[in-house]
Amino acid sequence: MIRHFVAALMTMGLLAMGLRAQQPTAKTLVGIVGQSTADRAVDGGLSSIQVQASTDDSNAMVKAARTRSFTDPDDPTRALSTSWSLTASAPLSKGGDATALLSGDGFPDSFTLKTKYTRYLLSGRRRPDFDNPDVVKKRDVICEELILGAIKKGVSPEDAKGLECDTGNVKKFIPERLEDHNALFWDDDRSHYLWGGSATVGHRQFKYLETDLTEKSTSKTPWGVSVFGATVPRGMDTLLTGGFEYRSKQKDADEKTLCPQTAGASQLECKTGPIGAPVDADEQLVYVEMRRLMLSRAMSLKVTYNFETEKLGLDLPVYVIPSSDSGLAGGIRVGWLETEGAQIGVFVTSSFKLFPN
Amino acid sequence: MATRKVDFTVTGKDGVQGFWIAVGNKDVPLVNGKGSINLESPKTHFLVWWFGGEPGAKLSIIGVVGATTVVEVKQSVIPPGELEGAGSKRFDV
Repeated sequence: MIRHFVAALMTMGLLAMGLRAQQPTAKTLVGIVGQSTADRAVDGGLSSIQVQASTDDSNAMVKAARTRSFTDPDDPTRALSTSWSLTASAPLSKGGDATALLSGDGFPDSFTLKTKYTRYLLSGRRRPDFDNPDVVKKRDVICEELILGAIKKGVSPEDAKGLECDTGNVKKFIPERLEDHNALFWDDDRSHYLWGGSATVGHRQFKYLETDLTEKSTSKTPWGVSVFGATVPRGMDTLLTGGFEYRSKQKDADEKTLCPQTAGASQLECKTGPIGAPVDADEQLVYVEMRRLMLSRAMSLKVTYNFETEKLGLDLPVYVIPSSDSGLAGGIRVGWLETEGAQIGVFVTSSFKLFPN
Repeated sequence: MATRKVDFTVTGKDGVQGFWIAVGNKDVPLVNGKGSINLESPKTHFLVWWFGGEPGAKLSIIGVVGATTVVEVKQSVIPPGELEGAGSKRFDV
């Protein structure tokens, strides 16, 4: 199985480059499933890696990932989920040297290899004791009321019997019983915690002009690391996040048009491009972010400080439409950079998500 | 009493951050959404599930013995205004 994994990694770069010219699609290449034994619940261990290839508007990607879901052996009320991924990506098109301060991985136009680890903890989980007839009875009463409640609200008896007895349907059809249903599965005191980090290394080719108009090229190896921690405190629909990112990278030198000094020439042949070798554009960012759902609105406030430039930035998108059937959302965005001042604009983006991807 | 191995596949989408399942009081550890457990047969069991994530996040679960489906949760949803979902279902093995 390890051989399969190594082979998958070796092909990731080639696949990513091979996909550069394709239209956005997504397909699963390989699904390698964990082994099981005959006498116990089984964790597939390191044998389970999923490999996927996909493209978006700007990159072709190949991703190997592994997720685990388990209970804290020292505290059964703490449910844990971990995810690890290794992603190889290559740009679909070259051009520009945009360097996003507040978002993005910060490695434009580069072939990159990124590994990411995230751990998610949901505390306050309760396992209902279905060996206890009283607990079973309590559960069955709620589930029967759910069927009756759904029928009262116009669901056919046949469809009502097929409804899952879960939080979603209880809240929808018998909201007055939601607290009793939740009490079977959760403590009152429950919180969400996420933490993790990533490391990225890239390869980027730069072309530039010397002052004598000779064309040169050089390759650079940008890299970066990031760590973050986040929590949804008890009873709040708010995600609080803090993190640090370091990026060692370069960007094209300023673009100019130069013309040779040719004595007596009637026509000049000029060249346009970055003049001189690429320049360092390192970033050391520390940020805090608050993302909040508010009924039919949502907002996200992110404050970032760049230690390299010693500048502060602020981004405040307010989602007037947090989501729609088309998967789009929009609203008003207020941005502020110490170097550029405040900007206000309208934005359209994908649906608001409280949790990070 | 004899036992039979039940293979579970759990799929989350639309913003599920984490999901967990148990049969009765036994947790079923999952790797890439898949896990197995040996259950007494013939007997009625309770499948229990929990998940956390965005409002509107969806979970589906299927449990099979060999090629036979013994339990299926087609779709469980975190309702608006909530960040957790849970449910239970009887099934026979």
